[in-house]
Amino acid sequence: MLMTSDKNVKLIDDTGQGAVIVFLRGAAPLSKTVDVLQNDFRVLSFSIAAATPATEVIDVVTQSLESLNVTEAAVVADRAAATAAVAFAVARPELVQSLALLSPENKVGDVSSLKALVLAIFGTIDPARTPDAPRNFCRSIPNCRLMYVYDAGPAVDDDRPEAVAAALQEFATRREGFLVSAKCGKLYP
Amino acid sequence: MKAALFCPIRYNGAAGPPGWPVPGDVYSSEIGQKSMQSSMALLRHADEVGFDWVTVAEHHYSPFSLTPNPMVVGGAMTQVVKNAKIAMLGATIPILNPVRVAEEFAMLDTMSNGRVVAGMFRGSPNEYVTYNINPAESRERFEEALQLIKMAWTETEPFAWQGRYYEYKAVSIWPRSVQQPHPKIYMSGSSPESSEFAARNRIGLGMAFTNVPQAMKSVENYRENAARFGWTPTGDDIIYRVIFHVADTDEQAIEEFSAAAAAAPRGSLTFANRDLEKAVDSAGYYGRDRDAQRARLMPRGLQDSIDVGSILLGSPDTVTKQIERIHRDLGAGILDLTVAHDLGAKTLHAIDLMATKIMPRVRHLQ
Repeated sequence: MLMTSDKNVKLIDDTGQGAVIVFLRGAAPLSKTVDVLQNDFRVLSFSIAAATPATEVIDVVTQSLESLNVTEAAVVADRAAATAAVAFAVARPELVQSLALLSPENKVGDVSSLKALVLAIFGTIDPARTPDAPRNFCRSIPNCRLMYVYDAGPAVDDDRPEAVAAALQEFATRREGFLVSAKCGKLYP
Repeated sequence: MKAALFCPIRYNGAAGPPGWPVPGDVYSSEIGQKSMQSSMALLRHADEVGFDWVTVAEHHYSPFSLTPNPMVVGGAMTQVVKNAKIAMLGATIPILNPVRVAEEFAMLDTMSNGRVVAGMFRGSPNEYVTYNINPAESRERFEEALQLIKMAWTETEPFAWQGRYYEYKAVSIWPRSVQQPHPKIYMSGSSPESSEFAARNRIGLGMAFTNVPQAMKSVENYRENAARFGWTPTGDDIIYRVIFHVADTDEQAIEEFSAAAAAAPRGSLTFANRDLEKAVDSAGYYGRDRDAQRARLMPRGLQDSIDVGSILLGSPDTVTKQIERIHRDLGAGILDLTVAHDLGAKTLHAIDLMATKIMPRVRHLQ
């Protein structure tokens, strides 16, 4: 089902089946990562217009999830939607199981009461970013894990969609447990 | 100009017919132990007489070198080499666990009080068989592994790495390196692709198993690309590895070296197994100037090797002139002087002559 909820916050895509990932994007097109994630998850992609108040994002996304009978989700947000995603996770902790932020900037609002485990994902190629920015960002967020995606720029999910999708998939499914490999290492029976 | 002593830690015994991998049934543990002890003594001696660096490298499955893990030898050297820098030239990073490499370099840097030089090499073609790594992936693995190693050295927040060839969920190495932000890095740069990469990433250039004409092309390419990326390499950014033997006279040096070479032909690690080399070649290992890369690895006769600057051989006066020529042509600031044949007292004497009669005359070259 595709529905438009609001002129500033739009559910632009509902694809796949399974556990829910809510993908919050700025006004950018659909993430290439969704093509991979939809094989194992139901991915709800929202576009958020610039300067949309966080309260509006919280209200619209909450209403959308309620109308779809979604009671919990892993949330993913690109740089433009990171502040709104944090606000949503703070406001609706019962809905947000985990939060993954793609190339977030330094300020993402008040995080003091953020409960969700956070994965901050940065590409290794970002000339505009200082080397210590990812580290400082993670240290400013409670329960934050840092990930670098090799050979990706600020649009990390579009540069390396398969790599980012694999990380999101594990993080959404296993949360802190994603640190422990669950891959089978056996070559032959 | 600085002097490094490179000791491959060759197995000083009969090793059967040439080939690779070399079967272990002819291996004598007694000879192996003596070979290592003798080589360690050479490296220690080089330090004592004033060499700037001592060097070991990584090679596998062959009497050519008994250092499949140079880090182990490096650890031993931190305890006996008191002043010289300890250079690992290098770790063959495309076939290794990069995080382990970062950890081991940091350990060595800590154990040596910040004297480690970090060589990151692609290795010789046969090395890819060792741990079953596809040589077609060599360059991409190298580039990613190098970036991961640098990140492991510099990132103090535990991090996950989502690469193309490497994936880690948490990296946070202890100990950290003494040298900050990290030890000086050199990479093999004999091919145009490598010298361009080194220039783009401000990495030192190391050239081994080559000759001056071929190395000149690499250095020229390195300098041109460095200029493009806004920097100028100095002599300290360029290492030229070259076999050497010095005696009191030219005749004596040639006689000693020739006798040793006849008794234990050195051959080429790359071409020891022709079928294997062909398979690696067909995987695209050599890159865009494949013919030149293969040619530089081909064995040459003694005089030809001397003429093209692959071997320094002769009296102190002769070798001084040979070094001056290499410096004039390459601008290399570090000579990685290779002990091709450990001749015991004769090699110790060669090291002494290099330290006392030759290096004082070329040290001013920058």
